[in-house]
Amino acid sequence: MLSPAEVLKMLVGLKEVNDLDVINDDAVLAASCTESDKATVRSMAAIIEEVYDSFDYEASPEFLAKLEGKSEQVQTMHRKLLDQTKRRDAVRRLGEAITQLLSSNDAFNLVNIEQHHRLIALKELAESIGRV
Amino acid sequence: MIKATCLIINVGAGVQSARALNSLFGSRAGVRMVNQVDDFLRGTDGSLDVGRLWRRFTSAAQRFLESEAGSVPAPRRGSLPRVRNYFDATQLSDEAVDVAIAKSIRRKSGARGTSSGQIPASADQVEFMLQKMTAWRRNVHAANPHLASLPANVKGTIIHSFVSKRMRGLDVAGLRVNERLNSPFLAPGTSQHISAATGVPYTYRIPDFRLQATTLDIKPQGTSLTGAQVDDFMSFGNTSDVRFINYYPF
Repeated sequence: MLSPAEVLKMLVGLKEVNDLDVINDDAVLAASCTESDKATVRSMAAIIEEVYDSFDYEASPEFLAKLEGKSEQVQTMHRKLLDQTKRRDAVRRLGEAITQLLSSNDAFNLVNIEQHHRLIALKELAESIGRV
Repeated sequence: MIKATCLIINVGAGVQSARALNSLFGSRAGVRMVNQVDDFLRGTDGSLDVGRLWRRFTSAAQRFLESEAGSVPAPRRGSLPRVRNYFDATQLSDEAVDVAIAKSIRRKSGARGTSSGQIPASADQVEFMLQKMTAWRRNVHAANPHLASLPANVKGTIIHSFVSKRMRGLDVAGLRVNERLNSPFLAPGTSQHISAATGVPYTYRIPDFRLQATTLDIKPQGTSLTGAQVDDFMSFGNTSDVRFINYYPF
């Protein structure tokens, strides 16, 4: 059975390669968690899907902190510099941060404040894995 | 005489304009107008009534302009919308890309679709599809650091699951995916092999794929094509055609 951190890695990895729906296959869950944790892992998968789908680096606390106190021109310049490569890199960092959710708060810095409740729920679910 | 010459010149210019408009719009009114002007210039009826022909011509021209040019204004040069006449793959979703790859693999196998949507395929064609899909997904997963760090059995199950899902999506006629293979001879205990889970002989096996008498199972490279499972595949399926789809462990 996978540890909570490994479950997070599996879910993030599956999302990154567009295979997160294999979680609906019982065989995959049977190989990765106990019967009692299957519902938890499926809930975690749903949250990860939502976090990714609503992710916008421009609305992240990290990016907003960069703009704070800057003139409108500088803010516009920062937004213009946010090209596709940087956005893709932010998504990659998001995946890394979610896999380390149990030991680090980096994910909260990347995800819009309005979505933080999802991260909190994800962390709680991950921590509950293995507890019978 | 001068008036008639001017009229002919004007009408000649009208023919050119009408032809140009006609080639532009290809309308019936345009064709009628051109024919009337042609008749006028040729004087085919012998009794030339310039006034009548002129009235017919101007009337047709007016109808033409109202019906065609009026309702469909001629586009101004440089104001035409840009037409995308090429396929823009940058707009595809990840899912659409995966579906396209799976379809390409199916086409490369030689299996052709039917009007019913089902795909009749031979065992060799299915084997080809499974090999390509397994290798494709194995490589995608191996390149992902999160998936690559998982235990081997989880990685293998994920590959099985993915390939099963895509093969179901292709709807190959007669292909059974992850279906129980029961012994056709007797009730429980027909296998000579003891199940580790139940402690009694296997009553069924679940091969990854089955197409008529051919059993196909995805396995890591190096798995021996002999053993209890293969024996049961052959015995329960009453066949010797068992094929492994190998992938390199990662």
